[in-house]
Amino acid sequence: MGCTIRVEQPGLLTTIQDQGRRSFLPSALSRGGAQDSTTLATANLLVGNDESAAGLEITGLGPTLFFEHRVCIACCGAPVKASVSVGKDHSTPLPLHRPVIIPAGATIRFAHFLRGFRAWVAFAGGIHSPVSLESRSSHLAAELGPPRITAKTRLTLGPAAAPQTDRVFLRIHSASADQNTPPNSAALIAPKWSLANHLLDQWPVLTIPVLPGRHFEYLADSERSVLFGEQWLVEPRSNRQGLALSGPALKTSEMPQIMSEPVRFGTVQLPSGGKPFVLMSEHQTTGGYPRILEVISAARPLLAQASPESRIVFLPVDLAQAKERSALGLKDQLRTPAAIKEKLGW
Amino acid sequence: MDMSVSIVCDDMLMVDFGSHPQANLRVRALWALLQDRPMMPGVSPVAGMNCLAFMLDTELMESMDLDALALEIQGLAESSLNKSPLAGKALEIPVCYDAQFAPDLDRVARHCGLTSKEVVRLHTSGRYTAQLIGFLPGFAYMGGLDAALNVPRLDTPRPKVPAGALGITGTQCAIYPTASPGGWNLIGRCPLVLFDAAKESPCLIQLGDSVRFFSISVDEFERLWAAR
Repeated sequence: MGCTIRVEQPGLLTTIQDQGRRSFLPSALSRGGAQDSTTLATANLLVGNDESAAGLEITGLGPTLFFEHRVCIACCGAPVKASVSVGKDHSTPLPLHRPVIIPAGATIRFAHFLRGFRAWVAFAGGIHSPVSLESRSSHLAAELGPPRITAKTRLTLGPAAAPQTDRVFLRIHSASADQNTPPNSAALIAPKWSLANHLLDQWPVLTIPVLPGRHFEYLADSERSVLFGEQWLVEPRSNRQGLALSGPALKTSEMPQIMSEPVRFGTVQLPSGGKPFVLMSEHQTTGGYPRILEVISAARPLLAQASPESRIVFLPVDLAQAKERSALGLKDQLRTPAAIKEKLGW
Repeated sequence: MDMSVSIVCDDMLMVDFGSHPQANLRVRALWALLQDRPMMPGVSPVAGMNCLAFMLDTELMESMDLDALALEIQGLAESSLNKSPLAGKALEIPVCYDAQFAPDLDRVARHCGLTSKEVVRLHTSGRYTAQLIGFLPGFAYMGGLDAALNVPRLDTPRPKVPAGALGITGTQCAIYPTASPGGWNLIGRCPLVLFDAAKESPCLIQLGDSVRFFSISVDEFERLWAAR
């Protein structure tokens, strides 16, 4: 029998996510997947999973989960307030950005975020939702994959859940000073170290580096100063498809009529209403609105943290800077697995 | 003809064939060339109306040299200029044009100075080419609509268009694969599954396919719809 987790409260928007569907752009299906796929990959590595395993994306206000079995989890991304309780015992805060062994019978209550908007929870063994089009993830816009999590959802983990949990437990246990804790203790077990996270140091301001889009040249100087000078608000109707920004309307009278062209996560469109719209991971694959900016690839994880409480500032950069940041990001991505392996000693 | 390759973002390049009347044919010629000579892993071509983009998935790429890639794409695009466009498959697609499925048919007819029957006759006598797959999974923009049927989009899009609805606007027609908001003029409904996630190639209509429509009765529609 596989390990299961019972959802008691679904939270604001909780979905099963993985690295998404990478090969269906020609069918007009965007990749979708975790809004910050790198952070979900990291969470997976922390529990001994392959980077591609499915976990939960929690948004705004997290879910309440009841653990029927002992499972190793890791929660990465924005700092979310979360507590763990077993039976009638008083609750303890859930340590973030590291593996944590959750005992059987425990309940985790994820509450609001201290900064940011999204976090990703990986479970040893991964969530075994059915695979459709190469992924276990929910693509809400395309109505593909599992529906969003409800209070009735039971999450079934993969067969590696128990052995992997034991493996991580032994690693943490052997590294800890207190070696007297018996292996099946009801206590929460987590290492003292955690992965650093500086993504939201400027919260609630998110400074998003951008390149000029294909139709940027049609914006008058006055409009450009507004675009780069404004702290843009994120409208509550924003979703996994895109962020609707609010602020002063930009003049669109000089904007050209354009034919549908391919767009991607991070493309900033300017519809005739003059309010920029930023495409997210479940974006439409083509769009007929003028595109005024392109968010550089390295800044997409920051976009994933945009909430109605945040303020978005667009920072113009050039291609050389974009490439440099992307190279740095890739280097980090290469470094993280090695760092985790070293910390867990395998 | 004018053709340019540009770097749109640090992980996106675009070949633009400009406003040339043949631009869309050139997109499909380059697409055809790419079927024979696939790019390196992590580089996915996506067709637009008069352009073709290359999305880069840096995690899947062995090396990342945007300028070298732009040069390679420039070369491919140039050698595609004298190639013929992708010859897609020929499809015959059933559509029920009954009034219950065609909320805009009368208005389209009045706008064009035709009867509803004439609109249906013109639509079923045309041959259409899938110029672009976009908007929704499996949504094919089909060019080749008779000039007599040129109607603008609705001023206010409908919040919900049902799956299978056939819409027209400008010189194009399309079928909504799933229920979605939509601003095209609805003149019929198709009972077939346009996007099937259980299939290896999930889209019924693919880029470059040549499509004809034939009219079916309400009974036939119901029978085919039930068999979806």
